[in-house]
Amino acid sequence: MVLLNIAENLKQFWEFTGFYNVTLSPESLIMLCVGLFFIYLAIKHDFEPMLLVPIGFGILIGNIPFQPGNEIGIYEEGSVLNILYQGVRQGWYPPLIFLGIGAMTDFSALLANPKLMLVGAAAQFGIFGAYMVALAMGFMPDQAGAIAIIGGADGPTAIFLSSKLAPNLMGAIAVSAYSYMALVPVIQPPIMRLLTTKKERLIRMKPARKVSQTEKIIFPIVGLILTCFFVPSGLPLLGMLFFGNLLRESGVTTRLAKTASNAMTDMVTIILGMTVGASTQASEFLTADTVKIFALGFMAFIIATTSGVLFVKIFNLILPKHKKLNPLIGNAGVSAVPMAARISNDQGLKADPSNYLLMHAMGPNVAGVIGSAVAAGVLLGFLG
Amino acid sequence: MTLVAVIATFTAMAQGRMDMCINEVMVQNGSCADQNGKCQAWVELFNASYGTNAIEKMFITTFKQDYIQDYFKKMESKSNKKRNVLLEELRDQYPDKVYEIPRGDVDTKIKPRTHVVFYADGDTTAGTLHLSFTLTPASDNYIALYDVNGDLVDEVIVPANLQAGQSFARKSEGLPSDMHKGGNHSFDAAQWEMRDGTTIAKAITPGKFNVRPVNENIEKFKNEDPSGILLTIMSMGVVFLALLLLYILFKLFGKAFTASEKKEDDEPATAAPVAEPAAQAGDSDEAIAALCMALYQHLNAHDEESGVLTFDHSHEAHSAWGSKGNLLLHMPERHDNH
Repeated sequence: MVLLNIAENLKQFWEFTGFYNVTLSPESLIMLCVGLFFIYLAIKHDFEPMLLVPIGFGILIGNIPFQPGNEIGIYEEGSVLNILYQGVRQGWYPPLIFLGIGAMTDFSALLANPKLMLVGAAAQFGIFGAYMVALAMGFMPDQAGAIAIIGGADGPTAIFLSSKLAPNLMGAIAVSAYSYMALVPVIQPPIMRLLTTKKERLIRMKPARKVSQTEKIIFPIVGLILTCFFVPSGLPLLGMLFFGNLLRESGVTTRLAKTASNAMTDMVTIILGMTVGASTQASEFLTADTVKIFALGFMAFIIATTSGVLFVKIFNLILPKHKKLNPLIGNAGVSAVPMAARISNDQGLKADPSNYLLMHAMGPNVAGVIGSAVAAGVLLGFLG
Repeated sequence: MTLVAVIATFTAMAQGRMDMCINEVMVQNGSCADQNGKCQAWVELFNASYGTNAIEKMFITTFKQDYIQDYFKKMESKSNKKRNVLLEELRDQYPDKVYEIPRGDVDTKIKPRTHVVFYADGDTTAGTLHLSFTLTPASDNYIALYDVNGDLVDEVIVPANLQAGQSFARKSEGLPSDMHKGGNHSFDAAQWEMRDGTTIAKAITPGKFNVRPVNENIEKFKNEDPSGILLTIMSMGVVFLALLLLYILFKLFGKAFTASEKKEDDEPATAAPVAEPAAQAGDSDEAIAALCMALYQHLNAHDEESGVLTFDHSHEAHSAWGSKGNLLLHMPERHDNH
């Protein structure tokens, strides 16, 4: 009798374990491999480790098979993971990340040469190009908008918009956005070389002028008022971005700026990455739509890079000779800061080892952050 | 300052309650039973705002607006009582015509864009959601909703020809601004219709939307812009316009600041007599460097800085760290008392 009880309890425990439950959902093993691959990419190849390690580990957490009903899983109401996940679902984390981005971004490069804002605007065509393709692939307008925002190369913006327009696709969109952001050094350089001539790559840009502190203080205030009067739906992102920047530049809130750009951003990044990863459960993630989303995301990055570089080339046609821009900074119009700007610099140095483009590329790069947030606001306004 | 904040808060709350509206009414109910299983007449309210509204202390009455206004005028000329107090007095006089929604019931917290149904059975002992009055079939029924301050929020005149089993409902629930167009809280018959439940469009919907909510934007873009070109052009236009304006503004700012800085640089120094010899000596980098070197030597500046941490030999042979004698425990002392 006692032996029977022990056997029954052990059987019950066996049914509780992941080993048993994995037989019921073997596809979770695939997701575990995806999570391990992300961690490998981050640690071994240093691809966006700050993002891919939390996301990769989150995928492991979210795909350990378990018996439902014990308030464990991320989709089980009341569980710890579910509570943390509310920040993603309700869109709390992305604005907090934007506060940190604002507090750590120096807009001097942009203010010194404000025409670079237009390069940041041009690269947003990646978003709308992908939107049209997504519609052609059969997605509904709101889903297409949520997928297309991957082209902005901005993880928090992608999460924010997808949580509003297509919450069921958010996991795939977020993972896709962060994956391609990590792969920017692989995706962008061939396109940049393909679209530029040797002569164009050698263009030396005029050194940037010194920007006064007053200009730096005025920028977040005017920027907020101007952009948010156009796109009030972008207020959560743009408001926090410019607020963070004012904390940085005002000179009287250094302590707040430090906290926003360091401790707070780190905490939110950890929780955001982990919960986004954990939300990619096999049943939700391993679908034909995910494959399409990844394909569309890739396409969006290519379109964004192409449109940025081509815009600079066209812009050069109307600029005087001494003010011409190096088209290698066009790729930086996507908002993967500062990765995209670094790529501009690397490519510039390959063409001419003494031509440093980093500071010039930071202009369109930070303009891309504003541009993608405005684009997200526009999509939310039209489709929300 | 605190007072201002408190007043502002209350004003905001009042504004929120102003977004409540009467949404659907049924006078002769044959099918929709309340929690006690009774089929009573009912009045549905809708929170048109995007925030939770607490409707406690609001008034629902069958007294017409003219009567209430006359009553207010008459009473206000006699005393300076507030309108909500006057409504409370009216409720005490005519409990079968004025119902004040009680405080403290969770049912009176109406979530954004949701409905609440009150049963007009005249039985307030049945709960908060039971009105103190009933509605009369085959005659016009006037119902009004008053704010906690005693201001009219919404009113409706249910026509006498409403048949048993029919409801009188708003054609659709819109945005807060649509519910009281131009801030007008009076009854607009054009916004209302009779419903008999025979079709989906004529469904009787207590506690639910009168019209199934659809995202009109998505439907519009799906039907009118299937390729997405229109949205792309518009959106890129907005993005470009926003950043173009920023570009123009900061180009102007930049020019202004550069000009003012240049002006400051060009202005002769007025209160710097020490700098004059340097300026006369020429402003080449070499000259400035030579002057600096000369000043450096003249002031006997040297590289030895104060506050440098270093080792210093102690004159004492043993320190507390090195002396074994200092580290040893002292022997206990013996005291001989006897």
